[in-house]
Formats: sequence, C-alpha cells, structure tokens
Amino acid sequence: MLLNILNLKMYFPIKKGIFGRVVGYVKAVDDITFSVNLNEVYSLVGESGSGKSTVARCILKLYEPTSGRILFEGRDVTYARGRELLEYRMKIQAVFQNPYLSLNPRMRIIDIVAEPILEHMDVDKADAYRIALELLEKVGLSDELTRRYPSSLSGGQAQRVAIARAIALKPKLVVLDEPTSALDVSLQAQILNLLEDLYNEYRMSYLLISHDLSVVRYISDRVGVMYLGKLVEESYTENLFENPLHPYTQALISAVPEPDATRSKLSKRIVLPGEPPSAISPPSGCRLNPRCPHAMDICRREEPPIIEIEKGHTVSCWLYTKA
Amino acid sequence: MVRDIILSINDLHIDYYTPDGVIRAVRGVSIELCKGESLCIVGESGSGKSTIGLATIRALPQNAVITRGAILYNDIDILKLSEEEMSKRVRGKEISIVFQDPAAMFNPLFTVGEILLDVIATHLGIRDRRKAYEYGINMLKLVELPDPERVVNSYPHELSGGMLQRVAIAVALSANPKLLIADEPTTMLDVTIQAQILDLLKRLRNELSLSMIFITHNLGVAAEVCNRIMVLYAGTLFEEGYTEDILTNPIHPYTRRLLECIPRAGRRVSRLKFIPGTLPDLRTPIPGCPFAPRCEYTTDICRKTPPPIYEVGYKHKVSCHLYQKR
Repeated sequence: MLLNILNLKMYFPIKKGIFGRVVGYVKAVDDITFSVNLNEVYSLVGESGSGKSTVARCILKLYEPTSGRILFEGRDVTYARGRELLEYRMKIQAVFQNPYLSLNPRMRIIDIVAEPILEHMDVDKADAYRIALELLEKVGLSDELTRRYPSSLSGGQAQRVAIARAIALKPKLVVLDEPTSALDVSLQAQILNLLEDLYNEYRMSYLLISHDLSVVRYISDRVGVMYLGKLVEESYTENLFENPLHPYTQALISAVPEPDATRSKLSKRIVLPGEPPSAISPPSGCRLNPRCPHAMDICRREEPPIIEIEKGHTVSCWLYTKA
Repeated sequence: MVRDIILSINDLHIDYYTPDGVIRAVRGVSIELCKGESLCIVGESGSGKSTIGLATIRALPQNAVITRGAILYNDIDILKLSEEEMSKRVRGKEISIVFQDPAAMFNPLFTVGEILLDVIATHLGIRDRRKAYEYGINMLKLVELPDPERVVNSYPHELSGGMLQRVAIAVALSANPKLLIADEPTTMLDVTIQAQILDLLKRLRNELSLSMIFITHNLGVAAEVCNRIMVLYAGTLFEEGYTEDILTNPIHPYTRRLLECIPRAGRRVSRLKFIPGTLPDLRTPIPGCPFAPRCEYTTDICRKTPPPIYEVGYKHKVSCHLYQKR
C-alpha cells in the first residue's frame, strides 16, 4: 500500500467577535479511512461540500488535519517537518482545476517545468532544461510554446504544462483535483488520454478528486463516494457503477445525464429531494437521512457502521446490516 | 400540418470588437422554432451559442455588432424595435432568459421579494402590494421552492445555488413569457441538483406551454430536455435534427467525434476517442469549413469553400461537403 488515510478528520473552526471566540466547527471531513495502492487510480467522488478537496489538501499537507493519520509508504507523515516533509513532497505532486492559477504567470513555461528539477534533482542547468523539454514534448506541447508565458496558452495547453510539472520528479502519487472540469469535452478527452498514457509509462498512482462520475468511471480502478464529510461507499469501479448499494450512490449515478437516446427512457432516475444540509450542524445519525427515500428510525438516531458486502466493496448504510 | 413558428432567426452574423481584433462569433446561423417546441443549441466554448441567446433578447454587450441577419419573433423583427419597445413589450413579457450563474444575476442589496415584486409591478402592472406579494409567493411555489414565505425575505447570498436558480426561473417566468431562453442553467450545479432543475424546466414547459431554447455544452443535458438539437461550431451550424436522430445517427464528423469523446457513467469505455487540435482563431477569416483543420475526412474543397446545408433526413440537416449529392 502506498497511501493510508486513517480516521482523518478536518474541522474548520468558525470564529466570531473580536476575540475570535470559536462558536462551532465546519466538519468538512469527518472520520475517513481509505488507502491508495501502488500503481492504482483511486477516485474520491462527491458533490460540492462533500469534503473531497479537503481530503486532497490534507494529503498534500496544505492543511494540518484535526485528527487522524496519514501514512505514506508505511511512514507517518501527518506531522512531517523539515527534511522529512521535503522528501514527502518530492514523491507526491498535484494538478489542480485551474492551471492559470497554479502556474506562475511571470515564468516561462520551460522555467516552470525546469524549476522543480533544478531544485530537487542533482543535475546541472543544461540537463534540467533538457529534461524539462523532453517532458513538455511528452505531454504534447510543441517546442515554440515552451518559451511563452502561461497567459498565452489555451486552457488545455496550460493544463498540460501543469501535468508536465507534476510528473517532472517522477512522483509516486499525483493528486488530481478536478483536472478536466474547466475544459471542453474534446479537450477533456485529450487530457484524460494523456493522463492514462503517463500512468502506464511512469507506473505511478493517481488520487483523482472529481464530481464528474463519467470521468471517474473512465479512469479509476477504485472509487470512494463522499457525502457531507463521510465516505459512504467504496468499491472497485465496475462493481460500484454496476451495483451501487448506498442510496446516495444510486441517486448520484442515476442523475448523470447521458447522450443516449434510449437511456433516459429505460432507467428510472432517482431524484433526492432537497439539498445537502450544512456541514456545521450535520443531521444526527446517517447524514443522508433527511433526503433518503429509505430512511428508517435507526437512520435518524445512529450513525451507520461500515459494512463489507463483498471483497473490497464497503457501504455505510443501515439497509445492509443483518437483522 | 403547418405549425406556428414563434421564432425565426435568418442568417445571423455577430462580431465582437475587441482590442485584439474583430471576433466573428456568429457566422450565418438560421434557426426556426415552433410554438411549444424546445430546441437545444449545443457547442463547445467559442461556438457562439450564448451570443445567439443574448441577441434574441437584445442584451448583447456594447462591443457586439449584428452585421447581418434578422430575428423574427412572431413576425416582428426584434432587431428593428426601439430599446423602449423592447423592454416594455418583449423582454420579460414575451421572451425571458435564465443564466448560468444566478448569483451574478441578482442585485445583492435587494431581497428576493423586492426583485420579484419589481418585475411583477413593471410587467403586469400589479401595483397593489398584497396582490403582488401573493402572486410572487405563487411563482415561488410554482418552481417548487420549499418555504416560499422565508425565501421571499432572503437576500441572494442566503440561498444556495440550486435555490437561487429556482428563484431566477420564477423571476423569468413571472410575466408569462412565451419563449424562455435557458443559457447553461445547470452548469454550475451539482448533478443531483441539476437533475431537479431539469425536471422542473421540463414540467414548467409542459404546464405553461412554453417554447424553449436551451443552450448547453453538455450533450447529455441536451438529450434530457429537448426535442431538437442544433450543433454549433465556431459560429456556424454543423448539424440539426431531432434529438434521437442526432444521438443515434449523427452525421457530421464533428458531432460523431464529439459523441465519442464523452466518457460515460452508464457504461464502460476502454479508450476515449478525441478530437485533435483546438478551435480555430475566430479573428481570422475562415475560407472553408471551420472544422477542416481537425477533421479526418478533409479534402481540398473543405479548405476552400464553406459547405452548404444538405437535407439528409426528415428535418435532419448537415453542413458538410461529404454529403454533397453526386
């Protein structure tokens, strides 16, 4: 196993008044456990406010979690500092949704990609730039673009630069936070294919954060579904999409509009009433209970346990407990 | 059977004047929409789909110029109306629009009720506050907002994206328009909320016998809500037909490719097809077919002359040299 997330919690305090009195917490991530294996694409899928990006940021050590542990290659990196943190950061890279915000607008493309190589690898300047140029070619950017600045690139091209920079140090894990959400479908397909090719060539792992179930199904090996800070279901991709167990997963999958003339007539859509409640005061018991079509008494009282239905397929729902 | 045509757009050309040059955003698009019909304009960014929507309610930005064409709404040329006639007689009352980002549409200093009452007072002339209030509450009930009495007194920032979009729909429909333009109304929403809003729009369309132009980049959404689909690319019409025909039997190479490069949540796809290259620069003249540099079937004629529109089936049109009758 490459990455283990154990009982991760991330609460953001809500402060009020001039003394910053803490009046409550936004429970963005509330007790989540999962792992990413070597050479695997793991996806966290959920709607806005589900906490999926917060998980990614904890892993990238942009946030310090409230509690829980993050193990990378068996070593605890939750509170890594100094040299240990530097080593960790070399092995884990990220690609974000908006490449224009994650690329320095005052640096040329080639400098952006060469910088981490110069910083972390034991090579001289000429070698670093040669490697950077090779990487840019690999992600499909022509030579003449490499001397330009990010603002003169299109969204798809800029995202390719971000990907080239992320793989420059041959990381073990790349966190992809909504990498194609800002792109048109024809460009999205190009980027997804590129990510797949790089994955096969470099033998790394991806942690994909996405709200788009069709992208998730296309690229991942395993999927975890999040709702309001909880992991409600986890399984192998095909299992999850063909046999979703949690009412939320079922509704989520059925809500995706697809360009098939026959589909909308065949499968009935499950519409969840209302909207996700606030993460400041989540409902007691199962967090889906106010919107769930199958809600029972126990759902309102107690949090459901995590139940393993078959190997690798877990669900957190009272419907699947043995009476 | 002759069906009443509510909107007909003929050979519309729209340019944007920018410091970097003239962007020819719409290059000769014609649309015919019958009463009660819903038409979806599908295209990627830069296809000119939103520009057409804005032109129909005459809300184009200052730097846009309609160089050619006519927009006939019930045989009235909208482009020839004065601004006063437009805002008094057409906008809101006959044609209404819903945008992608409802938060940007509302003035944050006014409550939902104030905005709604303002629209009701100007367009329907209901000056009596109690009657207008009742009417407003009924509009909010129509769009299935829970607890309308509370929503009416809320400011836009107090409502979620999905709720605000419902309010935006209520505002747009409060003066009983006949034609609703929905410009990417669900793009910013989560899928489960998107499903709710799409269902709502479908229901309202039937109940109020609205005609609708639905603008989206998402072919899946288009498949859900519309009778007919129009595929735009670089400001030109590529293909038009009934939704089922477009989805099951796409004819234009671009439409075919576009459908193939969408990953599916409903079935397994082993390798995505993709369209190489990017959209052409809309500032430069495009002599032939705008898709020619990215198309796999490109021949000499594609680069030189723009393809005419061929009728390939019942109400199924395509603009591609491949379908030239020999």
